[in-house]
Amino acid sequence: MIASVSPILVASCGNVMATDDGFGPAVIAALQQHNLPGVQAINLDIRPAALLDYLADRKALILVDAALSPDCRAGQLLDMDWHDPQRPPLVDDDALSTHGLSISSQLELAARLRLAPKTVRLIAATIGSVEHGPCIGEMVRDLIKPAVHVIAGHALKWMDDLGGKPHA
Amino acid sequence: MNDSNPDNTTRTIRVGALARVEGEGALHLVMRGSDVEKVQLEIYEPPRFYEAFLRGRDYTEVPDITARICGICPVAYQTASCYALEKAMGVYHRVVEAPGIQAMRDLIYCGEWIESHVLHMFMLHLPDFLGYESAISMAGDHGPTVQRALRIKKLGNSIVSLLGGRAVHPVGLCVGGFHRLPEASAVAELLPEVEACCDDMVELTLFLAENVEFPDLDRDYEFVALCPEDGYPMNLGRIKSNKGLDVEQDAFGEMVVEQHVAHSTALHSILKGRGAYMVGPLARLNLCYEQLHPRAAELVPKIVKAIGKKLPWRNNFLSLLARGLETVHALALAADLMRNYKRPAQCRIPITHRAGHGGHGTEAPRGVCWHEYDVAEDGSITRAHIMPPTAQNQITIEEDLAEFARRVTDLPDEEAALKCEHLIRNYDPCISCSVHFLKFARTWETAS
Repeated sequence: MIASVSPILVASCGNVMATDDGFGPAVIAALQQHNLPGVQAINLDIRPAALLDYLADRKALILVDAALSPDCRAGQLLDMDWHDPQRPPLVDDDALSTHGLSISSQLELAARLRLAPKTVRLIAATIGSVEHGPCIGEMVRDLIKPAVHVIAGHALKWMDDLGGKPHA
Repeated sequence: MNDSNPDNTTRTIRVGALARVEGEGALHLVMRGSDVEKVQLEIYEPPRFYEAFLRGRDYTEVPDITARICGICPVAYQTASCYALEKAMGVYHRVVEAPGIQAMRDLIYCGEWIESHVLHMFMLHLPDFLGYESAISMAGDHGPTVQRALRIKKLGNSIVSLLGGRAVHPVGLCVGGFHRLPEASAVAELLPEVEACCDDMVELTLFLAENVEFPDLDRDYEFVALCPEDGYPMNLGRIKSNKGLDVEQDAFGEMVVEQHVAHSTALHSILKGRGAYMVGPLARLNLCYEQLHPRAAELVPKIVKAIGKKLPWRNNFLSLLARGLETVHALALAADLMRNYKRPAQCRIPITHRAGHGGHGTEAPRGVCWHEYDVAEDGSITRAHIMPPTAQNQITIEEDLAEFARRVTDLPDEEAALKCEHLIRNYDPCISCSVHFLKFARTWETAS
């Protein structure tokens, strides 16, 4: 039996043992409490190379991550279209690469293979530096709830656009 | 830096950054004419001190902590630590003989081999052979092949998830067995996909054998792998080599000398009194190809015919095919294990902690991953010792480069670097998981 997939994928990456880098996994944990219709929320942890496994048949993808951006001070919540040429630059789009397959290269590969969702957004907490340790700093921790609200807002709107069908 | 001056006789090739993941490294090659004066795989990532911070932790925490060493092969770290600690706790034999537990450890390991091998073969290694910069550019011409590979890779993750609770850093394994094992219906549901992917992987492996041109390299390696009497290497078996090494698992640590070298934060390993050695798919295949699952074994003569080289293979560029055969083996074995699955009444052997010592290695996708622990009476770890496969292969990689570099002297900078990177990727090194993208600079220096 092939199970149908949720049209919206929310995927985080981040290291829960590296302070503010644990933002993405924390957002996913919070999001999973809400059981949003049409949404599958997954934590890719420190293996973002697994993203490709989840992309087929999705209408939209939201990436949740911690980000370093030279244009933004730490502690901001970014909500941007991944493909928008005007989006704030990130310090290193390949920073989360494992085995040479960064998020950006996976999305590029997915596009080549016609697996890429039409809509891709990045929800990111801008951070300063990352230390060893499991505790997310207060400034970034305060962004978890707003991030969940932003994601829920997008998801509900997209589900409306899709006519409310919970499966693609 | 690119300051080419071919009139001078000393040439330095520097690959500045094998970036990211489990390791950070660089390549430094100095040549005089066609002679290699110096070759160093420089691993400069700061040490991670896992062995140090395991000390004092409860033995039950070890599999989940060591799993964090690698995002691609956590099962290898979990199983090796579990078996070593089961030896320390005196329950090893009960675990491996318990109905269902050993079979499911093999099954979750099959999942890891499948996803790791397919990721490496088709996303990272194959572009080298076919002359593409990356899997992205390769997908433009070979989209259906990449799609088929992605399907198989995904299945590998599904198997890990089935038994480990999640594909990324699974949490299902524990000292003594598993925290829980899946319902038979969940296993049965996945079986048709395993069978379909096995058929597909047979075709893909043959496709590679028939369509890829493999660079020549012939070296007299000492291949080291687990060699069980009744199967292909994975979780159990004595550790043997093609040159006479034959030791019990516990004794392997005493056979290996680990050395600090100035250019690497990873230890260099040699076999005591013997020298450098190779672990990994080529070593396993050469030592144990007669133990491959029949689905994989029936492919061997076809592959041998296609490439015109009988086993054993002494050319590590052929590790691409070794991984292909191992993936077929893992898929076929997984299908067998799933067909025979009955949820055991007991998913782990109860343990009363005690003071003890145990050492054990399992076959990570990249080779023997060997762990050793001393445990105090209260169950806390007093000493941990971990030998990951890539550290064991480091000297052999450098020796390969020394041999291979002579053949790139006439090539332009970029091409020479790509050839060296390709050779390094034969090992699928975990210290440099993103070895696929290197920054390269070459200088010509005036000979003194």
